[in-house]
Amino acid sequence: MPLYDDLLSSDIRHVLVRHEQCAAHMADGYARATGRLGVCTSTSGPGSTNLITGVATAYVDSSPMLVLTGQVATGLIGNNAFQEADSFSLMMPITKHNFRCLDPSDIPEAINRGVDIATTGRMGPVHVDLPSDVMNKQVPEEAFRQTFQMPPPLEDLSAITDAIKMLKNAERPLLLVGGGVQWANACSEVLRLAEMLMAPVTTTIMAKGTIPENHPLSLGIIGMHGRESARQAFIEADVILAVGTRFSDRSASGQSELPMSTKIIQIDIDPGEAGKSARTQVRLVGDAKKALTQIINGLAAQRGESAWTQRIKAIRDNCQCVIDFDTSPVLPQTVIARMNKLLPEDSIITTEVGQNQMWAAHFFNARYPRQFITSGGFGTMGFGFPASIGAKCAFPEKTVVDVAGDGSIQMVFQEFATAVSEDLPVIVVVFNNGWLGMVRQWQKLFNERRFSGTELCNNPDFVKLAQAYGADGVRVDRASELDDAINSAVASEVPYIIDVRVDPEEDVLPMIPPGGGSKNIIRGRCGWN
Amino acid sequence: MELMKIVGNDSPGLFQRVLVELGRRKIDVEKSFMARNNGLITIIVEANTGNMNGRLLHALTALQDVNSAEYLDEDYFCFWESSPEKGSDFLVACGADKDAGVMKKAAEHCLYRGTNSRS
Repeated sequence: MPLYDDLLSSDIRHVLVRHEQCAAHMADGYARATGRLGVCTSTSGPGSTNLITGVATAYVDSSPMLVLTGQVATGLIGNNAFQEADSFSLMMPITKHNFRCLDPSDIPEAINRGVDIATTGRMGPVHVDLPSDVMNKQVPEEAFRQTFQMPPPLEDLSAITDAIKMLKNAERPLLLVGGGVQWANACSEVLRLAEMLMAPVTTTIMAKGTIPENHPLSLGIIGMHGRESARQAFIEADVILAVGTRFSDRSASGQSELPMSTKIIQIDIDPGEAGKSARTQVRLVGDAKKALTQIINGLAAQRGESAWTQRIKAIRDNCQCVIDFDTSPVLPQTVIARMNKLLPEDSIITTEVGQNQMWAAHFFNARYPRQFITSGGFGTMGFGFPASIGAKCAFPEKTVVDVAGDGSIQMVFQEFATAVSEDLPVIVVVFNNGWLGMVRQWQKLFNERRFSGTELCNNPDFVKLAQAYGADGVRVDRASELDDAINSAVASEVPYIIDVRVDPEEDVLPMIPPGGGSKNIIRGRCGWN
Repeated sequence: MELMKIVGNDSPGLFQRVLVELGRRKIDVEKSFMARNNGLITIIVEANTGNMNGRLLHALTALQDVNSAEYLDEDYFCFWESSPEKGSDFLVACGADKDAGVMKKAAEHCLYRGTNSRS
């Protein structure tokens, strides 16, 4: 209450959500869209526990957030008081750091250090727990005058000359780029280095858009549902420069397929991640922008066309999907293709998690960093819609679209009330197939179609439900209806839902089965010559 | 099993934070000990660190308020004793045997001030 009372006299914009989890996702979406700190608050007990999924989502994807939670009065802590939860302990494994302020004089340090910690090094959420009696007291003036020094970030770029030498001698260099590059604002350096080396760039899903995906050196995303061209180049490269990526099981599994001669140079700001791949020959700990700049300066010379660039062109040409854009039921790939065509170029795309996420990741053409926002590491269904609202807060002039499934949108549908009341007209495109599609796909492909716990019976009429909140929408059954739906959504002055009925038999392909490799790829409509 | 010494600033929750970090990385902690001294916290952990090796020390050092993390020499081990008669007083030693020199080294390692040194 004291915090909210003070908000009345501040110029901070407060967005009242309908569920605390969405407050965390909105702050996260704001942070991912801008690169700046997102802030969310909740009351004690259930308020703070509801935040947890959102905070964990931000933590895994290194998104900077300040999380403020109320707490029962200090004299009641540990007594199972009304709405008491040990938020300090609950948040500990899912935050970069957390503070419990037991005295008003603790607050300035917690906030100042908290912001510094969240926004430096490997970014992440910081939690501050604020007991009610502490918030009700005046912070002593001298507490504001204290200064706090952050220890210098751990850095070890001593092997940079080895990296430069290795890249100079590389015949088939490749850049593997992760989300850390976007957090470090090092995307222009990636592009510069790629063009100097004439090296192809493949990204994890978190780094989609680091370089424009229509650039001749872009191979798109790598991973379980990534582009086969990216994986093929990854295997054929003789030197891989991995920047800001943690070699997750979804993005860079199957390293055993790499020839023993392949050399990996890894740059990461987190010393706990640098050198994670057993194949790493050169380990550089530090800021990606700084390290890449040093490498660019060290390389100096520009490369020209080579057998490798010709091979990359051939690999790109080999990787083609054959999709009938006019077929009914509508194919999800058709929806993404029409979005590519009709949405303004600077539109921001968020996704939920599941098939919708992978269709968007595979087929949407990202043009710039931070354009594609998704829960990569934690895989949180219900992330995309509130994250789109956070992104829209940051960029009200841009079109913001959440690509959703009918399962995930029902986890957070109530936030249409927030979007309407805050005048944040985001667009939600629902791939409605009546199933939890990704799990169904796994049950179909790997469990002999033994579908269990995946059919979504009694879905509501999403358009009517959105309209009940004061939003608008349209149902799409045929491909021919898509363009009008997208154009209406872009023009709408209220939040808008496009309920696209898609075929549940349509799978997200290509796919590398879990534990599989190149020989096991399931291709579907996406061929490989 | 490895023996690690983690030293950090005396901030709330540091001991818990270290154990949580180890736990979430599937590190099996066999024994742990903490001592506060002059604004610092020294934590001794005996754990099976699996295949993380040096990266574990980096991960621990990356925690806020942790100043250093290191493996202790394998010639040394730490143990502590308590008894109802001694209340909360401990006797801590690190070393291969209990001769006086090793005990002194143990005290240095663990930043421990034993009951018999308090007079």
